[in-house]
Amino acid sequence: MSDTPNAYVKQDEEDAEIFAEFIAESLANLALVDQNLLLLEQGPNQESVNELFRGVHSIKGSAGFLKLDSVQKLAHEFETIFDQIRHNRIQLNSEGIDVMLRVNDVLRSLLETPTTQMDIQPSIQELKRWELAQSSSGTLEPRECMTPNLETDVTDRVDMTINELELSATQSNAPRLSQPHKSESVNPAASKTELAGQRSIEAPIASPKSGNAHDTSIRVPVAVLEELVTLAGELVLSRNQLLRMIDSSKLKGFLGIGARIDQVTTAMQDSIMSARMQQVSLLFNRFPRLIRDLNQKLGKRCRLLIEGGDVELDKTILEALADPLTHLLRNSLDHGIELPEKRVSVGKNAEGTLQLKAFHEGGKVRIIIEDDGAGVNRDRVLQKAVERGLVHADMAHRISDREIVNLIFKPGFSTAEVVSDVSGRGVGMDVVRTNIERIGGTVDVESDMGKGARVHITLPLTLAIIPSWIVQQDDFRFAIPEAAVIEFISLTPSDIAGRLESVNDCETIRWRGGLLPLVRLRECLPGPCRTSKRRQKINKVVVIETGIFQFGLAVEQVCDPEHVVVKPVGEHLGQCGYLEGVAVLGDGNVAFILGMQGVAEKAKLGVKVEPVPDETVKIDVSRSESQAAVIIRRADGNTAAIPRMVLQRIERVDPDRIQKTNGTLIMPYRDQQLHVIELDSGILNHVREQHRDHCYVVVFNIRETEIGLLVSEILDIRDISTTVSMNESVHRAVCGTVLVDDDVVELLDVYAFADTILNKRLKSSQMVESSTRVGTGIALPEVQTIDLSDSAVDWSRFTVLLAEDTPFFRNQVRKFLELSRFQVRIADDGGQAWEFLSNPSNKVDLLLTDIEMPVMDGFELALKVRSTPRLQDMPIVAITSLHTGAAQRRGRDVGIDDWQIKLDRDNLTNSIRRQLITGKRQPMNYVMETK
Amino acid sequence: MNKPSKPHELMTFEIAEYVFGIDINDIQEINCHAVLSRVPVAYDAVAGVINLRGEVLTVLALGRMLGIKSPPPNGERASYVVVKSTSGRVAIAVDKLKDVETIPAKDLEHLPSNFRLSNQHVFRGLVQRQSGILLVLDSSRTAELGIVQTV
Repeated sequence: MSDTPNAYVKQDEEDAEIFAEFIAESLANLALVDQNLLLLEQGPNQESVNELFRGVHSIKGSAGFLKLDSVQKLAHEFETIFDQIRHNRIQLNSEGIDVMLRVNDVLRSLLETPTTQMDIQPSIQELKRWELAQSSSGTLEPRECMTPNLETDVTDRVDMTINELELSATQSNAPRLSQPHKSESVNPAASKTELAGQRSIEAPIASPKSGNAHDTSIRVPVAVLEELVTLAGELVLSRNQLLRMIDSSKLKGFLGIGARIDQVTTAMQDSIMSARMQQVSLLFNRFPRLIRDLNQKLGKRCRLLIEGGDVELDKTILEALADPLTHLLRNSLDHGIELPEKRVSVGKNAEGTLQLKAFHEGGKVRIIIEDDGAGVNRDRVLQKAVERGLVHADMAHRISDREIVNLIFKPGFSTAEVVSDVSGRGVGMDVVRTNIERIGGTVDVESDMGKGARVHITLPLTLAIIPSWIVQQDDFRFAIPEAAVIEFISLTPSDIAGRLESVNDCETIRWRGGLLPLVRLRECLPGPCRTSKRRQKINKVVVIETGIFQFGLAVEQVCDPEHVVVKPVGEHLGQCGYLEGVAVLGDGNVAFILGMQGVAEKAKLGVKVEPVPDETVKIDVSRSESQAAVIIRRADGNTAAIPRMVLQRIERVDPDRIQKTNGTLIMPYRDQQLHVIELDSGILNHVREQHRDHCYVVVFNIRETEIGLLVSEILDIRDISTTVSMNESVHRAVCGTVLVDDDVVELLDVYAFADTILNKRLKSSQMVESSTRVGTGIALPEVQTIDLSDSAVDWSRFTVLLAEDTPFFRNQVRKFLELSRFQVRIADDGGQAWEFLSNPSNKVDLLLTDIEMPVMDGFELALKVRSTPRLQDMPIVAITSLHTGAAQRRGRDVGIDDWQIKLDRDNLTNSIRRQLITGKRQPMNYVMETK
Repeated sequence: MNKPSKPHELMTFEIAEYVFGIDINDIQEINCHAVLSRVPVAYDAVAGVINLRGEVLTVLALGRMLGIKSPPPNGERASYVVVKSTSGRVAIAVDKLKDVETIPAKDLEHLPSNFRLSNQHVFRGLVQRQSGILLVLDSSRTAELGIVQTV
């Protein structure tokens, strides 16, 4: 059979990029295959067989959509054999390994020099001969049923592509393909190629190798970068020692040198880190092609919408994400999106929509894959799971829908009835999950039967440096990745009696109107590591959420937040299950990174029960809502609170890093300059005078700009009441006072404060406020860019109804709204709001509602609105201080369009504006960072 | 032992009264002043971790794994031999570092049947020298001591 050179015809340069990446990736996979084959030679080993299978499987998959037919075909044969071995149908012997190594070499040369026409038949035959010899000599009959089908299948495809080749070679493709080479006229070889009129299909293939025309960057092995990261970390430690030494020896002359080394070290570490970041579009750009090809293959019609391609991720994470994402998209299209006829018959648009979004959320990157297909068939999944023994039949009726849907991530689960080369060999979702968890992420599916499914992936920004909270227990220091922490609860001995509860021998703690399983960290540690035999006292509780678990972790002490450089733990330590890594802290000590999965297992927690919606509990928890707040000490000795939700992050910084230029404080922050304002003037000087080695900068967003607020001391992070007494402001930053453990604490309005300070500057420097834009900058026609700036629209013609029971929030939000020139109507609870809305003479353009309200809560209100035809199109935005996934999901079910945090002024007004302009009952918008 | 003609070059060190040797090709480095940190796990094989220029290495309590009773004379004076193996790098805590010795391959003998130490599979054999017996360790088996094979 002749090979198909047209397989390598590429349509444009973007494809060339994808192509080069595919080659690099596949070669890495092949290297793995080699390794594992050699491992297998030493003795049977199921893990290696699985690795082999996955490696070959992903080569096959990628080759398929790049139309590298011979690679795909050979990989397919290869994979089939491994499948047999995996299921112990045939045994691998050393002769087999020889054969496979040879086949692997053929695959490698096919990939390395894609232009050469290589006959793959001998390799395939060699494989088959061996397989036949094995199966006839032993266990099972050959897989006759499969082979012929595949043969015709592949032959057909090859024929088809040959036709395509002839077409494309004669048509418009040829001149366009040669274009890149014109720019390379310096390269004599290239111009000669063109002069010689060599077939254009070969020309672009050479380019990945000889493509030196636009090389402004060089390839550096990641290992080198990692080494640099490590060394930079060590340099930081040595620097600290040096500075201490200089300080104690009072060698004045060295102070300057020390400071210089200090700066350079920090800058170096930052830039090494940024060298590892890459835009997700690098990965996302492959997918339109994948979807197009799959559409053809499966006879479906589906368009792909991509959002957030400019979000950056660590290279390692991005790479590790390639396979899982490909798989998920493939699955969505294969199993989710229905055939066009079917879609029309159920009243959907014939063309399905797949959305792929990336955005930042709370220091993490989230990726969402959403389809409007059939959703996950709950019953079929359950049935399969029981059949395959993944779930015990008795348990079947006790699992929640959500857990059922997530069963698809169990190893060995595949509901595809036919083994196709798109999906369905039972390799897949479990691998997806393992791969994502390996890079510190979580994955979760939710499905709406008949309406579609949504996969959420949450990822850390970078593998190397993780913002973490350092906690202490029994003289050990542990780092808990910030991504896993929802909040901290500080309990006084008097609280404990009221909040601890024992349910089925399982300790729980009351939290946000539900019961949260409680784990004492000491009990997870082996006996010899504990400092005391006594039961650990409950004092600080960290509320942890991972994809699967939600629980409270009681620790002795919560220390500082710190960005830690994560190192892998050796196998010895790794086998305990609850240590995921180690980190060297700023002071040179070692902290252990707690793997929450392991901790939960150690504590024998079951799979996460959805936050217990226990009505009885709800009632006796006081009706007042609570919100997480950062408690700080002010210069005058008073304590003050800042709502945690409005803050992007809390940075612990060395006061010397903050510099004063032209009356403004500036701090280097993530490769940019962060404008820092002082809460109380002179704090910085004060901190410096005291020779303190750190202070805190809390970072928040105001009109798309990050602003840092300098505070000298953070006392606590905890829930505080939302019962605020208003006092006409003594200080411009204080909007009221709250009681925290019988102390009066000032509640700060950081926005108002920043505004007053910034406005002063704004006027003097004649800066123009940039307009706020919604939507990402990707050149996709589907993504609209709407001008939502103050000047573009006359907002005063819109009326917003605000339903909110807490006077403090009511006033704050009302203030925000009025500042944005909306007409505001107020309702004290859901009942009042409904009364107002049910009168047709009241015109309301948008409903802004709290969730927790007396008389009628926000969910019920939304439900009522949605069931009234007149109000069906009115956008509903929920404002809340609870920000849980479960509440959001429930919100979506009752028709809430968007979900915002009460005091996050900018996002809130943007969301309202967006909803008013575009929001005619679109799918729920997630809280997005608009950049 | 693949090429019997080639002599072994061994780094030798002491744990209690025993002298051990390990192929110098398997050794990344020797460290005498790293600070041992405790770890929140309780495995006999693990003495703790050390921070080696930013890399955190597991320290293997080789003496304990071999059933050598006497504790190191002085915790502070422990030195670490960093061994490269297929499963990564591991530091071995030793009481005293000695020398590099070249041993002709033919001198390597099997362990006697009444040999007393535990985990004998980590030994390649022993060498009888004038100054006493030298126990030769297999570096990768040693490095894997205490790792429970997951099936």
